[in-house]
Order: sequence, then C-alpha cells, then structure tokens
Amino acid sequence: MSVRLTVEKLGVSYRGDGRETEVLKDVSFELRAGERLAIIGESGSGKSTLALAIAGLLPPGSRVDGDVRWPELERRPVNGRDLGFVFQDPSSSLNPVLTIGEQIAEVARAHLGRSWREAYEHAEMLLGRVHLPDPASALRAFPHQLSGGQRQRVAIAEAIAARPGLLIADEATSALDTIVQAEIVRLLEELVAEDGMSLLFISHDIALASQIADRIAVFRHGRLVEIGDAGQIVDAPREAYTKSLLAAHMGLDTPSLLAPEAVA
Amino acid sequence: MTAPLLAATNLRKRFDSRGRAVAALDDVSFEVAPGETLALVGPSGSGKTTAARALMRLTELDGGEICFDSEDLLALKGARLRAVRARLQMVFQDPRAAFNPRATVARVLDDPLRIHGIVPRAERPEAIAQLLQRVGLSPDLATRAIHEISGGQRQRVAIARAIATRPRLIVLDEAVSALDVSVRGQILELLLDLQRSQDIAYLFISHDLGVVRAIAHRVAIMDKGRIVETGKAAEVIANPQSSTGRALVAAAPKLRHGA
Repeated sequence: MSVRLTVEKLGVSYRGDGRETEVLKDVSFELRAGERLAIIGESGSGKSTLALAIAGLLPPGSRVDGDVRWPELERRPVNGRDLGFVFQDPSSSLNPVLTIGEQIAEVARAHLGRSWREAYEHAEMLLGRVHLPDPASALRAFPHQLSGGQRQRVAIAEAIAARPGLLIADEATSALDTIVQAEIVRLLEELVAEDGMSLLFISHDIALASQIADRIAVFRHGRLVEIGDAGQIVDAPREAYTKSLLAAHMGLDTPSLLAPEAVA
Repeated sequence: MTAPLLAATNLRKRFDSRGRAVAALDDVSFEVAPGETLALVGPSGSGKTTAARALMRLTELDGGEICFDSEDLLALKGARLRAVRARLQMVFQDPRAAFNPRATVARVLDDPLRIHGIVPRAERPEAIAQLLQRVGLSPDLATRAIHEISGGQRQRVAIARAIATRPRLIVLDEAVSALDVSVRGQILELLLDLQRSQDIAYLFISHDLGVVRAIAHRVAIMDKGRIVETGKAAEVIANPQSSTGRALVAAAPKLRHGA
C-alpha cells in the first residue's frame, strides 16, 4: 500500500519565557494509505504537538526540525482538503453563530468548488453518514442545540467533508461518556474504511487505541518509545514504559483493589 | 447491619431545557454505610452529578430527604450546616478549577483548618505538613503556588483539603478521570488507604466502569434521572441486568489481545 505520510526525524521546540522547551525529539514513522495508527501517551508526551506539526498548526515561534512529507501529493497539503482534524472539544471547532449546514457547506464550497445549493446537499449527505438523526433539520440547527456526542458527529462530518486522505482525531472521544465514546469510535472506523482514509488516533487510553488501531505508537517525554502492530504492543510490548501503561489499564477483568472480604 | 451514614430518599429535581422540563433526578434513593464506597455510574445527563451537588447543597432539590450522620441535611442552616459540611467533603474532576490558582498550597489547606476551627493558629503549619505527608506529598510543597505543581500533585492537595476537616463522607466527582493513568492508580491507592485508616465513606461518581470495579463496594447505575440497577460492584459489572448497565459494560474500553 502506498505511503500517505512520512514523518522523519521530527523535532519541535516551543519558545517562551526566554527559554526553549523541546517537546518532540527525533520522531520518525510512516503512515500508509488506509492505515489506522494510534498515538498513545500521557500528558507532556508530545502527542498533541505531533498532530499540530503534521497539520501545520504549531504556534508561531515554534522551531521545527526534520520533515513531514506527503508522498502522494505534488503540492503542499491543504488543511480541510488533504487532512481533517477532530479535536477533543467539538465546541472549539464549531462556529457557535453559524448553522450546522452553513459550516459544513462552507468546507464543500471552499475545497470542492461546489455551489451553495450543491454544498448544502453534500452537507445533508454527510450528516446522514455520521448518523445524526434527521439530517435535514440538523442542517438548520446551531451547535448549542445539540448534545456533546452529536456536536462531535458534526465536527467529524466537517472534517471529512472534502474527503481528505488523512483524518486526525486528537482525544476526540475523551470528553464523552463511555457509551458515546464507543459509538464515535465505531463511526470513525466505518468512515475510514468507506473512504480509504488514513487515521491518526491520538489518545491517552491504550485499550481504546487497541480497539481501533492497526498499529500503536507509544510516546513519552516527546520521544517515540515504541511502535508496532496493535497485537504486538498489547501482547508482547518491548519497552518497560509500554508495559507500565498496560499494567495501569483498569479493565473489567482487573482485580478489585479492595480487600477480598469487602467485595465478596 | 449498621445504620447508614447517608440516606438519600426520593430525590427529585427538574430542570428547564429549551422550554421542556427535564427530570434530572426522578425519585432517586440510595444509602451509603460508614467506610463504604458507593459508585454512581451512568452516561452524561443521567443525573449523577446533580445527585452529588444536591448532597453538597449546591443544588436545591424539588423534593426528597437527605439524612446524613443522623441529621436532616436539607433542614440545616447557618452554623449547624457549616458544622455538617466539615464532615461532608467533595473532590472535583479538575483540581485546577477547584482552587484559586495563585494561592499557595499552605493557604489552600489552612482555610478549612481555620474556618472549621479545627487547629489553633500556632499549630496550623505543623498540621498542614502532616496533611501533605498523609497524601504522599513533601511538606516543602506548602510554599508553592497551586498553578506551579503537577496535576497529580494538585489532586493530592484537593484530597488533603477534603480530609483536613476529618470528614465521614467524601463525594468524588470524576476525581480521577483527568489524571494520567500512571498517577490514577496512586490516587486510588491513597483513597483506599485513607478509607481504611479513617473509616471514610465515598460517593464515587464516574462513567468509567474499570475504575469503579477497582474501588467501589457497591454500584448504582443511573440513566435519565433514575437508578436503574444497584448491587455489589463486581456482580453488577459481571452480570448487568439493566439495558444501561449492559451498554456501559459493552462500551468499556478493553485491551484487544491477539490482534
């Protein structure tokens, strides 16, 4: 399968308070077309900086070393057109004073050259694809009229509106309850498969990552600690840090921390 | 069976949402025994946080009774309410939002000791040092500002503040949800250690069944303002009877082996 994204020796430093902080160091990996790669890490691991660097959204004054290349493109990637971005808080990516229809149609107009009328039809189709009930009336709704889970569906519809080759989901389900989280993960899987998108799924939750990703990359303190097939990372991690993340996971089969007589 | 420490009976609360009345609490009843952890679990909007806020008297109920430590909590006012508040504490999800960011750690811990008249002024620095040690922090941290310390340290300070008044019940509202997984385990161990040594009961509010299974004795599953299922945590999670219980179990992230 062709390579969609090559990250080579990527380093990012932020400048502030008169000093430079290195937040990403010497990161290299490839993402193939249609592949789902999870980026796992705790706070300060650099996982969100990686997403911003790939999207070219780093704050001004950041120093970037190394390369992010898009081998299939013969031009610079365009946000919205070549990559879609879904953030943790859908309210931050939706405009509160525009209807849902306007903001999705805007993407179709800007990147696909559709007329407003065609763009609205496209938006309605997309709202159906993200399983929003009653897409036709959702077009006329404002973001505040929807639940958190529905807003994230709208943000996803907007992110995929121009059929980008890469979808970046940065903690896109972390603010949602587990039931809605599972629905959104299923939706992402479905959309990625249908459109042949590559997915960069950024999360602090290694179990969730193992459910959606083909491969998992583990980050810590700005470095790529380990990358491998999801099964290898879960069943045969090579690095002690990966093992500690797996040990810290609390699943439904994890023994209770309470004394045995207390739970009997 | 010992008398419950907390008995909430027939709690009712309606909110107006876009012109429609929505029942946040629809005849909700539960009990917590001394030294016990009851988890309230449910999807967003199920009413679990409203129940917690009602206990703290941060939300006025439309109806129902709350008996805490043999007192009618909803009838208390003034000095007697303040006295009960010392025995009933709360820790929130985001410790950053729960503190004045510019206050020092010492100031944050001095407040409850002073307001509730627990420790005379001259002895407070020593009491603060002991509280910090109790939650696994260095007493040297006392002079640091809240915004200077890490998220895990901040949540430990929030717990230190909560235990400063020697409470019998602490409401933990998604108190470990925002923490890194490596820190989360340590905070859960700390909570259990405090529970064992000081017989503190917890009302543990969460949407994460994995964490609930690890720490709670009993669980009450809420949906749309009602308790739909209740029982021992391990039993309910192993064999949920309600559709909400089954949905929460199915949705809990699981490590996918052998992929």
